[in-house]
Amino acid sequence: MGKNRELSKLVGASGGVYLGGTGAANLLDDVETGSWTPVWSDGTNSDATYTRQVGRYTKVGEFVHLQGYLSISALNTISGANLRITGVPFTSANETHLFSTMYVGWASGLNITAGQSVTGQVGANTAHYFLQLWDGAAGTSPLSATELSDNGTIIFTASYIAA
Amino acid sequence: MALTETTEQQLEIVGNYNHIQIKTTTTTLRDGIPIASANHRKVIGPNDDASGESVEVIDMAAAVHTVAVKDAYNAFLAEQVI
Repeated sequence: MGKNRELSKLVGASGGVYLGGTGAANLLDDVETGSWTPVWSDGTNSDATYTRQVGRYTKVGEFVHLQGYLSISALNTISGANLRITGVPFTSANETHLFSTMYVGWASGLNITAGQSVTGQVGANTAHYFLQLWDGAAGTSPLSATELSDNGTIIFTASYIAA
Repeated sequence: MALTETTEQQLEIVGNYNHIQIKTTTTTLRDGIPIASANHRKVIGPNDDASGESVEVIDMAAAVHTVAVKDAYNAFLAEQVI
């Protein structure tokens, strides 16, 4: 009986669980796992063909963690210098200038210079990551289709706060 | 023993600019009893092409991704300079 009373304090009205306190910031009310399909896009075109196109996600509360593996066999009409990965499973939070980044831990087939590396960032109220290239003394610049190339492959992780 | 599969799609409109979050749950049933399920998600934003989606998503996008919403969203994006 005593344990039941204690447990009732932990269960929120929405079916979540309070952890470490009973305030709204302590309520864990959503846990979900699943798949998503990462897609290269230049903002207009997204017709690349792939040999690998795999994504998984885990959402715990408002925190979203992504894994992805994209291997292109042809860019087709994707071009320009504003490449992004679309298809992410949740919209990012509505908070001005709240950015998050991705980590690209493996790549092949890219048309970049030795020593450069690929990264990405997601802003507020969006559902895509802009890809960046660490190619300057001062920082990054947008990754271009030419740099991705027709057989570029990346394996990445990313996390952000969902809306 | 009969294995069957059902698919359920849930749609929700999220955020200030009416992003449509699509959750597709595929459930495997053995003799009518659920034995496994898997989720797949994606988001259709104001600037995204919804033409390849289900009729429900296309209709929803047409209703909530108005010119005013798209204009407001693009203005918001323009302000998001790092």
